[in-house]
Amino acid sequence: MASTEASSQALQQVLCFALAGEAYALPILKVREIQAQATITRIPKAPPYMPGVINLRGAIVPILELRHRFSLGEAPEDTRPVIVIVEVQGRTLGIRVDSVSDVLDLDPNAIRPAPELGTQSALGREFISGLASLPGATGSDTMLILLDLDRLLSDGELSALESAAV
Amino acid sequence: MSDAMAQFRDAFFEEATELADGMEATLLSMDLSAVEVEDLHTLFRAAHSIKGNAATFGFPEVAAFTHKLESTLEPVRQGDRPLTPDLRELLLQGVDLIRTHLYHARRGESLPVKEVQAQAALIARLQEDAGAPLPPMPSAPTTAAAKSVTMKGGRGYSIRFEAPLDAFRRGVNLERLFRDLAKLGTLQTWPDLSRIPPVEQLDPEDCHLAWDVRLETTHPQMDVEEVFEFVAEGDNLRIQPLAPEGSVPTLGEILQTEAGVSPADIREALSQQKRLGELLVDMGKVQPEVVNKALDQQQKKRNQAEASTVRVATEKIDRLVNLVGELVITQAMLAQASQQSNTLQGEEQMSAALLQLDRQTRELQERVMGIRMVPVEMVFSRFPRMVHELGKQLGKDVELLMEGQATELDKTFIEMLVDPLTHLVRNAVDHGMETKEERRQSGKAAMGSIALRASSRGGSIHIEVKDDGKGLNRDRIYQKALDRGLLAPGSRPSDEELNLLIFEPGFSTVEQVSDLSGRGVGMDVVKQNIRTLGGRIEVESEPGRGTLIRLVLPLTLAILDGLTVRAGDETYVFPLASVLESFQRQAADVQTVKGDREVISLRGEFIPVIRLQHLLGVVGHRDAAERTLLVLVESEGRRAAMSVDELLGQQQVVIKSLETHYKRVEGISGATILGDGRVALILDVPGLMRQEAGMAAAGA
Repeated sequence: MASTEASSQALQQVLCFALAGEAYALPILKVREIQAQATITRIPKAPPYMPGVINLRGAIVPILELRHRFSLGEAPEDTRPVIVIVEVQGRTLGIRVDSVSDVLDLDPNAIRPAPELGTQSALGREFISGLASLPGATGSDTMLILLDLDRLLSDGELSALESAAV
Repeated sequence: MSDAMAQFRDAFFEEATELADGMEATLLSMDLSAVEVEDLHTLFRAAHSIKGNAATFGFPEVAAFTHKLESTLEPVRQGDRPLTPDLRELLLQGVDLIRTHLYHARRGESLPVKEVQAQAALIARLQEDAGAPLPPMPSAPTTAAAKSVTMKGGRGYSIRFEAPLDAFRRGVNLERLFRDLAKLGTLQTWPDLSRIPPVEQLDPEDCHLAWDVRLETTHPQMDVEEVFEFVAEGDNLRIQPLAPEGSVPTLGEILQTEAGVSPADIREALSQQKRLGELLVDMGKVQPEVVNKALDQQQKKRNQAEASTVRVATEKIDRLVNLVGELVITQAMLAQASQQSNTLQGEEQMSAALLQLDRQTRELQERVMGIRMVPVEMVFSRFPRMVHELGKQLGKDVELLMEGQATELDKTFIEMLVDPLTHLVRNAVDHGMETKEERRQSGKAAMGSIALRASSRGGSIHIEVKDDGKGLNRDRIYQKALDRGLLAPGSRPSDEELNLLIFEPGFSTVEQVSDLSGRGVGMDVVKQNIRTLGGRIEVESEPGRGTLIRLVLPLTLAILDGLTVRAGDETYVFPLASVLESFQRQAADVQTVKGDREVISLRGEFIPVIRLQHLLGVVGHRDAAERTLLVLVESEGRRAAMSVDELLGQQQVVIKSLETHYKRVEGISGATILGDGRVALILDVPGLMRQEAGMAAAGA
């Protein structure tokens, strides 16, 4: 499985971010930059999880609203969302998250496959490449959810982007 | 092949194409009654350069053919042979063949059989026309071609020889041919008996033999040709250099050398091999139309790949370099000024530097855009030839006048203008122009004239095609439009509206008999392309005096004059070209139809009101009744008033594609970035109107 396969690999660097109180992570090699301040221009009749575009130094880049994607509800008023710019399959995309915390070195052996979460869950198992536990400040472990970007983006309506680009 | 070599090859193709274009232009501009010697030299030089380069880059076929042209030109240049109109035609065909050669060579294909035959016929005519046999050209390109092969490590030739039918009667010693060949190197032969007819039809005195020969030799191709000197006629001898050492041989070649399979068998097998598309159609997996469509697409991709370079004048680049130098100085000035910003002097310096920066950035922007601009000459240059040919074909005397070839246009435009202009010019000659007799009867000069004019007017480019023919028959157009249901019975359209009807799809293709027939053939293509480019068409026509068709195009696709407006919380940009006016609406002007559709009466015309905010689903906090600003837009002859919250201003915006990272959005043609760094969407007015029509239909 994933763990035996990964044991030969070196440490994996991930970018950690928070979303509705949970800790998520992305492989750092997919991340291009982080934008703290950007005004989103809404696109008419766009799906709520992809509400609009931003100006990234002259390029028009669409934004993925991860809270909507995972049906986590609206962000509370006091958070200032951050946009993580990623590159997936040759296209640039901004992912809006609540906050970015850390860059961590993960031991691939510590990554475990995600358990079956049930079909009701919006965050299906297919988007998760694994779970890792981190030693928390208080002694109890916190769980880190590793996202599989490629699968996240190849899913459902988002793949419309792909077909539109051809 | 290495990248560098590939690059040189591309350069060769570009240069050769240009040289061929130059030859054509020179040929057409020559006055045959008083030929300028300099023109002949130009022609000769062009042919010579193509030949030399082709040989260097390993295209012996191109070189050999160009040599034939060159040797035809030689006596002409020496004054030994007059340049007759016929010879000019032949030379023009020769130029076409060079292009065909280049086209196929670029794709790494050999010349199709049809073209090979055309070439043989043309060469024959070029030579017979000379009256006397051509003086042999010892400086032979064949040597050049062969040299190029040896340069690449030539190993020999694959030869296909079909003996002439009368070989026996002429007493040709065929056996000796092979003995001579064997002297040159290692020889392998496969007799091809497939051309021998059944015995009852066989005339024993005819020779039906053919051979495929594989000759491994380091001798130049000329030596091989010499062996066949007395038996080669027309295309019965084909010599092809073998693939150079080290390159991967084809399967057929290996089978030939190792298994002794005859080349004739391989050819037959290959001819039975079907293309992928055909196979799929046979299997019933796809429809033939689908395959054709896919092939079209492939062709388009290929064309795009080829057209993706721009040649830029060095002068333009130099100016850019200068400008960047100035910018660096300005930047230094600013840095210095910012250090002393608290002093009065520093402040002055700062504002001076900012002023300079403003001017320089604007200029830089213009110049960078200018790189994409190419002279309209690129399209125009093909028309002298076309008009010449068409005139000859139709028996009409037509002269073509061109003006403003130096007018610059965006490269994309140039490519998209080729088809529309070709249609317009062809139609002008074919249908606009009367026959000689008709012209004489109506008291006009027998020589008709067509004018192609390009000019830049303010923010747009005008391209005009004007003929002095019979003009449009508006009564007929009216009748036809009624028949086809394009006009409502009893309507009284203006002359301009009637003129524009010729661009309706299939307007006159149906009935080829009327005198405006053909004027609509492909005319919808014109309309389509011009609209894609964001331009429009104007037609002026006077019966008996001629027709003028004017294409009005924006300067570039990259920048757009826009009207920025606010709807709800968002900013949108209307392309200024589709905005007629904007005004404050008076409550009394607006009436409702069917309860919720609003219309406004403007100078006696009822125009639907579209709520932009509603149509685009923008969130906003305003009450609908407060929206009193209307922007009157027009597209495809329809008008609508779009209600917005605020007019922000008129400005040039740089168009950015939404599709690079996102996708196409209905009603939005692109995006731009405003002064404050925010993204604003550019509205696609025709798209919005269609969307509105769709919603209205759904609501009704």
